[in-house]
Formats: sequence, C-alpha cells, structure tokens
Amino acid sequence: MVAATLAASMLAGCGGGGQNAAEPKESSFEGSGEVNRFGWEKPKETLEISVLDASGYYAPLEAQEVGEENNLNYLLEEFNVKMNVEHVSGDGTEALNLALASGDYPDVITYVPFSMVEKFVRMGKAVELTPYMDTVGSDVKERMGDHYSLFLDDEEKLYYVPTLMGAIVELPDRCAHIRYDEWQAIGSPKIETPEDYYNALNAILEKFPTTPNGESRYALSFYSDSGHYTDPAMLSGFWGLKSGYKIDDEGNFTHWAFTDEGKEMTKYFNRFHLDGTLDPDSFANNYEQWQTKFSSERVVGCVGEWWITYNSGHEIWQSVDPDTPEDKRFIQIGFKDEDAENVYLSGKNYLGSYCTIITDKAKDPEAIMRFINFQATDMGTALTGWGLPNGTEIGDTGEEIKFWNIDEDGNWEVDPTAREQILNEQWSYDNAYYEEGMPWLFVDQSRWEDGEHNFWPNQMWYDENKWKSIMIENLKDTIYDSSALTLRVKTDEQKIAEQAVADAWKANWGAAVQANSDEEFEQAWKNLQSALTSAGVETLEKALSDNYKANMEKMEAQ
Amino acid sequence: MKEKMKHMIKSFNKQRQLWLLCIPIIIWVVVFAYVPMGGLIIAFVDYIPGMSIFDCEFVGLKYFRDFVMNPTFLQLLRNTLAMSLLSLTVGFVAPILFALCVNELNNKKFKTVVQTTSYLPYFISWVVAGSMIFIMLSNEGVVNDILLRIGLIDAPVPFLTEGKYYWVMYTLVNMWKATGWSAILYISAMSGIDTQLIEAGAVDGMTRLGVVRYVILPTILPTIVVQWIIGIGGILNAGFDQHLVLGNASTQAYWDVIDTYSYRYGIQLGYYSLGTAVGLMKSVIGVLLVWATNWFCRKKLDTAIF
Repeated sequence: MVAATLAASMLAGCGGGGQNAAEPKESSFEGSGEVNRFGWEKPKETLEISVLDASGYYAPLEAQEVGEENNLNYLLEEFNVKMNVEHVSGDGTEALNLALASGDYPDVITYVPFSMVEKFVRMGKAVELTPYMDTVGSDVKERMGDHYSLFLDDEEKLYYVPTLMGAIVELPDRCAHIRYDEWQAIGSPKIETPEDYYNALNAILEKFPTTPNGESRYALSFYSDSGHYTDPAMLSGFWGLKSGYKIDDEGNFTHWAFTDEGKEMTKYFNRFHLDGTLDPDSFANNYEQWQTKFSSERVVGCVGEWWITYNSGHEIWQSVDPDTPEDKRFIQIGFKDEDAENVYLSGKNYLGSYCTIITDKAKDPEAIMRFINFQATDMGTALTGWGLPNGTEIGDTGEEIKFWNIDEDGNWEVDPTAREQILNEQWSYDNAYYEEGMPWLFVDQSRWEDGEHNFWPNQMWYDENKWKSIMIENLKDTIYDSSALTLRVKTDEQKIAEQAVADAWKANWGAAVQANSDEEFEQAWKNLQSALTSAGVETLEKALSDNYKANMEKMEAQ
Repeated sequence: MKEKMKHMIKSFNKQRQLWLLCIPIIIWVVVFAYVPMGGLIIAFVDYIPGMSIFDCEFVGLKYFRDFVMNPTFLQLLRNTLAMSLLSLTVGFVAPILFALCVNELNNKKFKTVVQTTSYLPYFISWVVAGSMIFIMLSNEGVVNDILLRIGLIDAPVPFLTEGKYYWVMYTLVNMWKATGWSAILYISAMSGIDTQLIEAGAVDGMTRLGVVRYVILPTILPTIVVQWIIGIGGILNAGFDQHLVLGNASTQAYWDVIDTYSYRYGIQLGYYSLGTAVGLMKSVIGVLLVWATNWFCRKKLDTAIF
C-alpha cells in the first residue's frame, strides 16, 4: 500500500512541487465580542480546526478517549471552536511522509519533527507565521523570549511553533539514584564523586546482598531498547561533558569517545563489570524487562531520568502494599568527577523537539494562530495541562475529579484537595485522564511569571514535597541550557552521519563496559573509536560546532 | 506465428472458466505487484514525498553507490549471507528430516499431535517469542540456570549479549518456529506416494532407510528443488523483525542485515531513495540467483520451476 501510494503520487506529482511557502490568505475571523472566563473572545461563527497529531503509536486507554471527547465538547461549548483531531497509530514520521506524498493532511499538524517541517516548507505546504508574531501570535512570541531568533530560518522567517517548548529550570531530567532506606542503613555517607557512589552502592550490596525473596542483587543495571537507552552522552555529564561533547572555548565539539573524560567514564562502569556487580543483562534488558528486575528490588542503583525509580520503584511497591514504609524509595542524586569543572546532566532545550505547523489546507491561518496564541496564555496553558476545571465525571462512577476551579469572572485556584493529593503523592493519574485530552498545539512548560505554576500539575510546590525538595537540592548544579547546542537544520550527509554515529556507539560501547581485562578494554575502546570515525563522527562534530557558533552569534545579536 | 496465436486463442477459450476464476488474482497482482514497480524510479532521483517526479533531481546511481561505499556495507553483507546460508543449509534440511520422521510414525493420533504441536510456534509473534527467548537465554535465564546447577559451567554464558552466539541462536530460533510449518509441504508430498511402491520395496528387501532413499526422497525431490530455488532467490533476505526483537546494542555487529539497515535509513530517516535503491539491488540479485539456480537444477537434477 505504501509503495502504491508513493508510486501513484510520484507519477501524478500531486504535490505540485512548489518551492515557496504557502500563499498568505485573508482572515475572515470575526469576534462575537463575548470574552469567556479564560480570556478568549468567542468567534461569531464556529472556528473549525482539523488537527493531525503525528506523535505516533497512539493507543489510548478508554479513559483517555473519553477525556479527549470531553475536552473537544468543552471547546465547542465554551470557545465556539470545533476541533477535529486525528491520531497516528503507527510511526509518526512515516505517516507524515505519506501525508505529504498523498496530499492528504489537515489544517494543523502537531508533533512534526524538524526534518519534516523542512520538507513541508520546501514543498510550500507550511504557512509562514512571521507576520502573525507581533499581532495575533504575540503571546507565543513572548513565550519564545530570548530564544525567538533560534526558531527563525536563515531568512528570518518562522514556519512553525514548537508543540512543546520551554523547561522547568530547577527540575532535573537525569541523575543517579540510590535507595534511601538502604543508604541510611549504611550511615548516609556523602556522595560527591563517582568513587563515593561506587563505594556507597557496594556498601549497600554488602549489607543487603539479596532481595527479600532471596534473589541476588546488582549494584548497577542498564537498559537499552528503541527510545530508551542508558546513554553514555548523558553519563559523561558526571565527568564534565555537555550532551556528550567536550566544547572548547572557541565552540569546537569533541565526541565523548575521543576524550579522556569519556574513557574514564567507561572505565568507571567497566569496574562494576569486573567486580561482577553490574547486571550482566545490562545490554540486553529492554525497559520493561529492566522495570521488572528493578521493582523486584534486584538493583541497588541506576542512572537515568529522575522518574524511572518512581514508576519502577516506590509507586509499584506502594500500590502492591499500602503499608510500604515511606523511606523505602529511591532518591535522586548528583556527583562530580574531581577533575571536572562542573557536572552537566540535564540539558534544557527551550526550543523543544517537535513542531506544530499550519498547512496550506487551512482556510484561515490567522484565526488558527489566534487559538494557538490562546494556548500560550496562562489560562490556555492551564486548560491544556491541568485539564477541564470545576470537576469532571470519572466515567460512570458518579464521582468527580478536579484539579482546578475557575468562576465566571475568570477567578481561579488550584483545588485545595487536589493540591494536597499531589503533595502527598496520592493524586490519581488514572482518573485524571477523564479531564485531560486537550490537543497540544503550543505548550510552554516553563514556570509562569508568578514563579509558582506551570503546565504540569505535578511539577509545582517542590518545597512542600520532601522528596522533590531533596531531588532539587541534590541536583541544583547539574542543569544547563542546551538550546544553542541543538542541531536542527541538517544536511543529508549530517543526518546519515548522526544515525551512523548512534549505531556505532550502540554497537561498540557495551563491549568496552563489559571488557574482562585492561587489554580487552583498550581493544574495545579502539574499536569504538574506529567505528565512530568510519561512521562520520567528524562530520557530526563539525556540524555541531558550526551550529553552536552560529546560534551563539544569533543570541548575542538579539 | 498465426498458428501460435490460433492455438493460444483456442486454449484460452477452452480454459475460459479457469481464466475467469483467475481475474481477481490477476488484478490484485497487477495493482499491488506491478503498478508499484513504477516507484522504483525513486531509486534514481533525490525523491521528496509529494514532489512530482519531474521536479526531483535525477541522481543516477548515487544511492546504489552510497550504499555500497558505506563503511558498514561489508559487515551488513557478511551478516546477511552468513545467516541466509545457515538457513539454507541447516534450516532447509531440518523440515525435510522432520517430515521423514513424522511420515514414519504409524500411530495416526500421535502423528497428528506431533504435527500440530510442531507448527504451533509458527503462530507465535516475534514479540512474544522474543520475551520467551529472553527468559530462556538471558544470563539469569532457564538455560544458564540449568547449566550452572548441573555444573557444566561456572559462570552464565552471555547468549544474548555476545555477538558470537547470535547466528547460532538465530538459526535455532528460526528452526523452532518454522520447522513444523515448512514440513507440512513435504509431509503432504509424501502422503501422495503410492503405498504399493513402498510395499514392493519391502518385498525386495529394502530397509526403512532404503525406502526413504530410493522411494520417498526421489518422489519429493521436485518439491525440494522448488523450495531450494525459492530459498536461493531470498538469500539477501536474512530476516527482519526477529533481529529487532532478538538483537540488542551489544550484538548489532552480528545481527545488522541489509533489511534492518534499509529500514533505519530508508524508512526511519525518510530516505526513500536510499531504501528503494537497496531494495532494488536485492531484488535484482535475487532474480539472477533464481535464474542461475533454476538453470543448475534443470541441468543436474532434471527438475526446475521454469
């Protein structure tokens, strides 16, 4: 079917093959004069927007489907906006390529990878948004802030808004983890260096060598499958590298596998292997298999996203046994190699990874931009992230869930009960599906100007949550702005090099970590470097360096 | 020429009911097997989905060259050929031997149970099979546990994380899944053997092995040859989904085959031209091999597909 569609469209040339942006269209938007409680002026005639959510692999729970329907009905009633949303059940990029080939796509597409945005722009199928940014899109521009220039192309034109941008600056993304109760049991030693972490994990392993079921335990375990990798680029952050690269003062990048820091990092993990305390299936576990192992208490420590020990650890333990002691959980920690100037674990890319485009199919792009702009306001963000206000029925249970309230005059508050439940980690995310489901056209997850609220219901009031406070305190110096490091516009050669480099380290790094002697390690390290060189790591390094220098110039010129 | 034409029309008229039955299949083949071949042009241009072919830049054999000059090409070829050859030798012989064994069973009920059980694994999806294999072969898996308990090994054998085990594992797993299924064809070919031939052989003093050698094998030889020729044509198809399920980062140097490469670069990165070039190259080589094997079988075994 794919081949047939491609062949037919190719021979017919249904795309037309234009090289310019979609022609601007006059707006017929007319406000009714009625401004609703969220600050949105309802249109006189129903604004219809068709949306394709290209995030891919859409497999909703029943509650999520109900939630989306609730939200779309709410939009129609309260906003006079009729939104039709389609989702992609397979791979998003494949679906976009097919949509482009067949010419069958709607007014708006969300979750478009940057490489696909380029294709839509090149084909003249993406509407230029620059003219709206000082008028109906001003809130979006304000949200983009200092990074605005990085969203523009070489001709300073804007063709997309990020589907999800911004960052919670104090919230780390990645870290090391250690079991809190077990760490206390060994005397709560300070963990400031990789050596301290190694010693602490081994001390725990010595004290608690088996699980309550008598199974053996490992000091560390990794996982690797599509989309989830224990990534050496991140691990090298403990040794002072940024996003897996050493960046010199002139902005030149060197891949971690060609630095002393990268080698030292790999040797550090090899030491666990030589001790026999690294899970031998570290390079075979997929994420689900790793979760099973982890929730069975077979792993003493791990390195990765902060939430992995939440949903593989105490959240499972507490759901199985409500009497689980509060201290039986992992805490998130950071440490720094003694020779490193700083530790860089969480690169905050304010630009986001996916884009929303308005296509040439849209009859009134300006009107659509108005709605996108609404999502950039605080109330738009709240409605999109927190779900429907004032209570939503939980299926047919007769009960309600609500995160926030808003009255007719626009006065709002986070529901005190919901706040309490979030802080006590008793909030039901399953029930919340019924009130969530607003399509994300533009979301900024940064904290609002009030310094308190943001898009995510569970990412507020850290200082009132003991465990989040510990995490924030432990990892406060590990977060950095990686926006300028992000390479978005890539040539074919660079894209292929990027994929080949990823293939090369994935195929070779494990052998170095699992080397059984110094000689074996040196050979594996040479193999890794050689594979990366063949894959075109130099092409990638140069592209990243040039991109970084250009981005820094852009930001400085702004 | 006229005579030939007349003969064809006459033959068509005679078989018109059969041709009528074939119409839906012919339409299906034309629409889904021949029309898409027009898409092969993608391999020779810098194709952008949605753009007219006339606007795409003609690049000739660039994508073929890119693939062959790729630093991992030799590794891809090695893996593809190694696993294909294992399938064409060990994997090819296994269903024949299995079919011969099943054919020797006298108890009909037991024969049915064995046959049914043997092809059940074929219906297990690779995702489920992958999980089963992880449970069996991981460092803490059943196999290592048994080997450790009986003292055959001192430390677990890393079946899943050391590349050197991958090809063997792939072959064995494929055999487990496909032997029973592939044997159906041979068993049905054997069921058509005239029992009088076997009885005559027995009267002449043939052992069971002799019956197999002089009666059964020659009878199913055409089936074997057809399967062999088809197998040779697919020599560059060394599996796809099984590698994504069974393989991992540590073993990629041994499982990455032409199809998985083509998927990563052609589909995931959206380089349809590269993906099409690789596919076309494989198909051309496959067709050439089928012709050559067919010619060889006709010459040496007096049996061929065409």
